[in-house]
Parts: sequence; C-alpha cells; structure tokens
Amino acid sequence: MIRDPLPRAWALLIGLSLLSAALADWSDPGRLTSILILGLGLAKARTILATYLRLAGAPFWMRGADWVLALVGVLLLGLYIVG
Amino acid sequence: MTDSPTETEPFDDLPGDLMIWVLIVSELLVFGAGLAAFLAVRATDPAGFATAQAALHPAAAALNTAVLVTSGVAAALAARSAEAARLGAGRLWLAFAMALGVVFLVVKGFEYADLAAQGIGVESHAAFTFYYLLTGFHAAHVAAGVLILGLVAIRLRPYPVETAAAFWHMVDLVWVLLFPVIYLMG
Amino acid sequence: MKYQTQKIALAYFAVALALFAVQVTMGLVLGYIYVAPNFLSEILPFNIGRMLHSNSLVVWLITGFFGAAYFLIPEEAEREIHSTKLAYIQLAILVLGTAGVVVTYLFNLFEGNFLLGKEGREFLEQPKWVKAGIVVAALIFLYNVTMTVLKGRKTAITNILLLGLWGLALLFLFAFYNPSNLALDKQYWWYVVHLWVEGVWELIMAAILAYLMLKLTGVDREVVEKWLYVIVAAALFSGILGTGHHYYWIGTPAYWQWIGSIFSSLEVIPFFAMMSFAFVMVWKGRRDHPNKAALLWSLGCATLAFFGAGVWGFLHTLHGVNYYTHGTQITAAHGHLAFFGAYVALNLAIMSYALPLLKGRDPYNQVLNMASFWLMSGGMVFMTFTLTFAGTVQTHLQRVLGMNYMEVQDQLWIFYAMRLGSGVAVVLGAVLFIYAVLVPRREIIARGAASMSAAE
Ligand code: HEM
Ligand code: HEM
Ligand SMILES: [Fe+2]
Repeated sequence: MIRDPLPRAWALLIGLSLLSAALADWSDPGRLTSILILGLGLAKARTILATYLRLAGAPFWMRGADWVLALVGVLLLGLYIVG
Repeated sequence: MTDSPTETEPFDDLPGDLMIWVLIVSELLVFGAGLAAFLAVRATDPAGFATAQAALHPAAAALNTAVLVTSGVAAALAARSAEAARLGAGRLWLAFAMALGVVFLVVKGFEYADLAAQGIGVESHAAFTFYYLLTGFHAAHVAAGVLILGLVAIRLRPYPVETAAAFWHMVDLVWVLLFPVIYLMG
Repeated sequence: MKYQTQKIALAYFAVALALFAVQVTMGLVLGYIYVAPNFLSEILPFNIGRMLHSNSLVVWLITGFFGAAYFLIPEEAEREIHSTKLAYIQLAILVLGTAGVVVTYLFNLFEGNFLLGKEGREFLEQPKWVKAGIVVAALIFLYNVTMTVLKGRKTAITNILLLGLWGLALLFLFAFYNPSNLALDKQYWWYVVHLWVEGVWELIMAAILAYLMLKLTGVDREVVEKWLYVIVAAALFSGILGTGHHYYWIGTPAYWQWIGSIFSSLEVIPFFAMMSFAFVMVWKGRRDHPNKAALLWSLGCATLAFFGAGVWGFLHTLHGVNYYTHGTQITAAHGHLAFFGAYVALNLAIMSYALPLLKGRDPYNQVLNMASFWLMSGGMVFMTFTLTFAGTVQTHLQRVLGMNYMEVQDQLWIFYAMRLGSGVAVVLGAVLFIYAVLVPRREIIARGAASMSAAE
C-alpha cells in the first residue's frame, strides 16, 4: 500500500483509466458500458480535485466540488440517455 | 471596519490562489457546456456521430490520459518540493511534467495529422466541429500550461509553482471528462 | 474634494451632460419617425439621426469616463493630476471633433473627401480627421493619468481603471482599418464595439463601482479589491471569445456559433457578480452616507446592467435563438437597457457622487436627482418591455411565418407609439437630472430629517 496520497492518487487514476480502456475495448461500448465509462471519468475528476488540487483538506469546498461534478454528471448522463 | 476579527471568510481555507479557482470554475463551465452541446447535437444525428467517432483514435487518446495524469502528479510533487525549498527536485519534477506535456501535444499532433490526411476538417461534420473545437481548445491549454510551468521553474518559489501546478491540474481535469465523452461513449 | 485638479472633472461632466441631452433628444426624433415615417425625411434622414443618436451616446459616455478618471485618480493616487493644461487641451480636441462630426453629417460636407468627408460605413463612422483627433486626445489622456498614477499610490481600483482605459484606446485603432469586404468590415467593427462594452468597459465599470462602494458604504478596501479582481477575471474570460455571438451570420466559419454561444452565455456571470457585489457591500457596510442619490444610481446601475446586459443579452445569445431574433426589435430592447443600465447609470452615479463635492454643496440629499432616477429608469424599463413585445411579435410573423417586413412593421405600430411615450419619460428624466445636479444652489434638508436618517 502506498502511504503518500499523491502517488496513490496517481495509481488510482491510472487504474481507472485502464478500467475504462478495458470497458471500451470490450466489444462496441453499449449503453451500459458508456454510462460506466462516464462514471469512471467523473471518478477521475474527483480524484484530481481531491488530491492534486488538495480539496480533500477543505471539506466545505470539496462538498461544493462534489455538487458541481454531480450536476455535470447528471446533465451529461441525461443528454446521453435522451440521445 | 466591517468584519469582526473572529469572523473568517470561507475563501480562507480554499487551497491555493482564489483567482486560479475562478479560472478552474470558468473552464469547467466552458468545457461542460461544450460537452453538453456535443451530446445534445449528437442526439439529433446518432448515426452520423457514430461514423465520425469511428475515425478518431481512442488508443492514442487513452495513452494521452496516462501521460497527462502522470504529468499531473509530477507537477504536484514539484509544488511540494518548492514548498520544502528543495529547488533541484522542484525543477526536475517541473521538467518531467513539461516533457510529458510535450508528449501529449505530439500524440495529439499525430491524431490531427492523420485526420487531415483522411480529408477530415472542422467543417466535415458537426461531430468533427466539436471534436476540433474541444480538443483544440484543450490542447491550447496544454501548450500554455507547458509554458507556464517553464516560467515558474526559472525563479522557483512556492507560490508561483503551486499556482502553475493548479493550472496544470485544471488541464488534467478537463481532459478526463473530455476523453470518455468524445472518444469512448458509443 | 481634497485635490484641486479634481476640478477638471467638472468640465468633462458638463460636456458629457450636454451631449447626453442631445443624444436622448435625437432618440426622441427617431422614435417619432417610427410613428410618423416622413417626419424630417428631407432634412434629417433616419440613418443620419440614428448615427448621431448612437455615436453621441458613445462619445458622451467616454467623456464621462474621462471625467470620472480625473475625479477619482487624484484621491486614489494621493496626488494632483500630472498636467491640468493637457487635460483641458484634451477636452477641447474632443469637443471640436464632436462638433465636426455633427456639422459634417447634418450638411453632408466634403462628400468623398478622404480626410474630411464621410466614410460611408454603417458603423464606426467618423471623418478620418476626427478619428485622428480622438487618438491624439486619448494619447494625451493616457499620458496624463498614467503619469499621475505612476508617481502616486497604486491601488487595485486605479490599476483596473487604467487597464480598461488603455484597452479602450488601443481597441479604437481598429476603426482605421476599412476593408471593402463587408464581412471583414463587420468583423473588425465588433473588435471595437463588442470588446469595448463586453470587455474593457466592464473593467472601467467595475473600477468606478468599486470606488463608489468604498466611499459610500465604508467597507474595507481589501474586501472591495477581492471582488474587483474576480469580476474582472470573469469579464475578460467570457467577453473576449464572447465576440463570437456577432459572428453567427456574417460569413465567418460555422464553429463561431459554438464558441460564441458558450462564451457569451458566461458573460452573464460578471454582471451578476457586479450586482451581488453592490448589494453585499451595502448590506455589510456600516457607513450611512448622506449622498443617497449616488447610492441609488450605483445600485440601479448594477441591477439594470444585470438585467439589460445579462438577462436580455442571454435571451438572444444562443445561436439557435439568434437565428430567429437577429436584428429584430429584441436587439434594440437589449441595446437600450444594456447601455442604459451599465454605462449611462454608471456615469450618472459617479456624477451624482462627484458634482456636489465639486460644486461645494455637501451635505446634500438630492431628492430631485432621485426622482429623475425613477423617471428615467422607469421609462427605460418600460421601453425595454415594449420593444421586447414588438420584437417577439416581429420574430414570429417575420421570421417564423415568413411575412413581409413592411407588413409586419404595420402590426407593430402600437408598440412604437408606446416606445415613444416611454422615450418622453426618459428625456424628461434626463432634463430633470441635469437640472438637479447643476442648478439648485442648495436643497433644503430639514434638520430633523437629517438627524433622523443619521440615527437609523
Ligand atoms: C440613455 C438613453 C438611451 C440609450 C442608452 C440609447 C441607446 C441606443 C442604442 C445603443 C441604439 C442602437 C441600437 C442598435 O444598434 O440596435 C439606439 C437606437 C435607437 N434609439 Fe435609443 N437610446 C436611448 C434613448 C432613446 C430614447 C429616449 C428614444 C426615444 C424613443 C430612443 C429611440 C431609439 C430609436 C428609435 C433607435 C433606432 C432603432 C432602430 O434602428 O430600429 N432612444 N439607442
Ligand atoms: C453592457 C454590456 C452590453 C451592451 C452595452 C450591449 C449592447 C448591445 C448593442 C447596442 C447591440 C446591438 C448591436 C447592433 O447590432 O447594432 C447588441 C447586440 C447583441 N448583444 Fe449586447 N450588449 C451588452 C452585453 C451583452 C451580453 C452580456 C450579451 C450576452 C449574454 C449580449 C448579447 C448580444 C447579442 C447576441 C447581440 C446581437 C443581437 C443580434 O443578433 O441582432 N450583449 N448588444
Ligand atoms: Fe456583444
């Protein structure tokens, strides 16, 4: 287990990227896989905000960022599902 | 005169400079709106967008994701070194982050060149208009970020390095949202 | 008034107010032509009147900005203006140029002359010699105030104000480029006009509002400055690429439709921030400043700018909407409330603050001035609504149903008549304002009333 949060966030980001690459490669991405891939993107965005940009240390702003990401996610997801 | 000394502004515990956060939020709004518009227009022409997406290079873009998040951790480590007044280490991490930024641009350049060779331009299809606008605008930020990281490396001080790194993380952040929506979601 | 050279502002404000009167009167003439189309058609064709209305607007607003700069820079920089003489020479050049424009256009002098005649453009229309004069005046101004600031105290307010004024002057240089290709002509025109009102003028607006808030509410400078920087960053971030909202249908590539739609939508943010700023400062502030009229104009400015520029701008800024509304009365509705809210009210706010000090009439509650605020703003808001209705009907009949332009105009007569009525209210309000700030020697404030408001 990596102690330092920065390399740990990096490993997580690489892991999530590999996962989405695998999902995308695994047959033509259908609806469900596409939604999962979007979710993985949002998870990466949250990791970057929390660790690279150090919002984890400022709970008030982290909550705000979570709201923003959730809104972006709902908006994109909604448009994707409609289309 | 107005604020009693005990009253703290919520901005005080925001990590890093307030202005860089104004920029991050603004960029997120721009790219978020751009991606939303992309998906909305896509809903009117799913087949056309699927054909266009097939011409893109998801493998190159996936590689670029790894390149960019690695570059991001390097920039964060540079900021940490600068904080601890370890100038040599700080410069090394910055150089590494910049080099990966250049790799990103080179890979991106190959993607554009290949599309151009197929005769695909901004006006070929609405999907490509969005593709070029969004990735092009993002790539311009990568180029600017490399420049900024280089500038703060000259006279290494904690505050500028931290601000430059925050800009770089913003570029990262935008990419991890751009990549799945434009390249992967089918 | 702490510094002698602040008096320069008095002359600038007087010229600005005189042109303001001419501008709104010309508006009234135009409004009457809409109702009775043959009015003055031989002597003053509509296009010339329209040019005078919009150009004199821009000229008086800029003259007012110059006056505001001469008034507030000595206080901020804590020293006298570098050269009083240069300041008056600058004003003389501006007055001469303006008179030159009016005379040249009314009598159509020097037709076809490269230097002296009309340029025959729809926009950015002044004879070349006047353009050159404007540049000389701007250079004198910039030299004068920059020297003052460089030698004195530097504050965020003066920095942003100077940035805005330098941007204003540099962008004007695009007016000299006169390509014969109409699409290119328009492309450059927006470099000037859009990047002015939705770019550098916003910096001027933010700086002057910040100065007024500092004086009127007594909030800490540090707090004001933080807001100022955020507003300026948001304005430039959105405004520069927001220019794209004028490039939808002029022959520029189609990707401008997305750049313009996305960035100009964000232009709402700085206007919202300025409105929040003004109200938060008043709410947080402890000072109960006697100049209620200046406060009223400041709050009115921030609010009407948000509605006129922000809300009415957003209304037609997405290219899917603009496809239908482009160049209809919706545009005129937006143009009027945006210019009035953001820049007319801003000028009148700083004048309401400065003129009593310049004329040595403190304390002063300016009841007449406040009445003029309600009359003028009420008229303008009503005008905006009538034009918005007219524009909605016009868009539907002309752009959706495809009816003939003139047939549609016949249907809109009632709206144009109401616009003329609201225009009368605006002109009366303007006259009342000018009277209120320049003429009464002293307005009686009952002692009791004064102490009551102080005790609030
Ligand atoms: C301070 C007040 C005023 C401001 C800031 C103002 C501003 C403007 C602007 C910016 C334009 C050009 C609009 C465009 O390009 O679409 C314009 C045109 C016009 N204004 Fe005003 N104006 C004011 C007062 C008035 C008044 C009092 C009237 C009288 C009814 C009036 C009537 C008109 C008319 C008829 C036009 C021409 C519209 C057209 O071409 O269809 N304005 N004004
Ligand atoms: C104080 C700031 C502003 C002023 C003074 C202003 C003034 C004007 C004027 C006078 C015009 C008419 C130009 C012409 O065609 O002759 C115009 C057009 C336009 N404005 Fe603004 N505006 C401001 C802010 C905004 C904002 C913030 C937005 C968007 C959110 C906006 C969106 C538009 C659009 C889309 C048009 C083109 C209308 C058309 O296609 O006919 N404006 N503006
Ligand atoms: Fe504009």
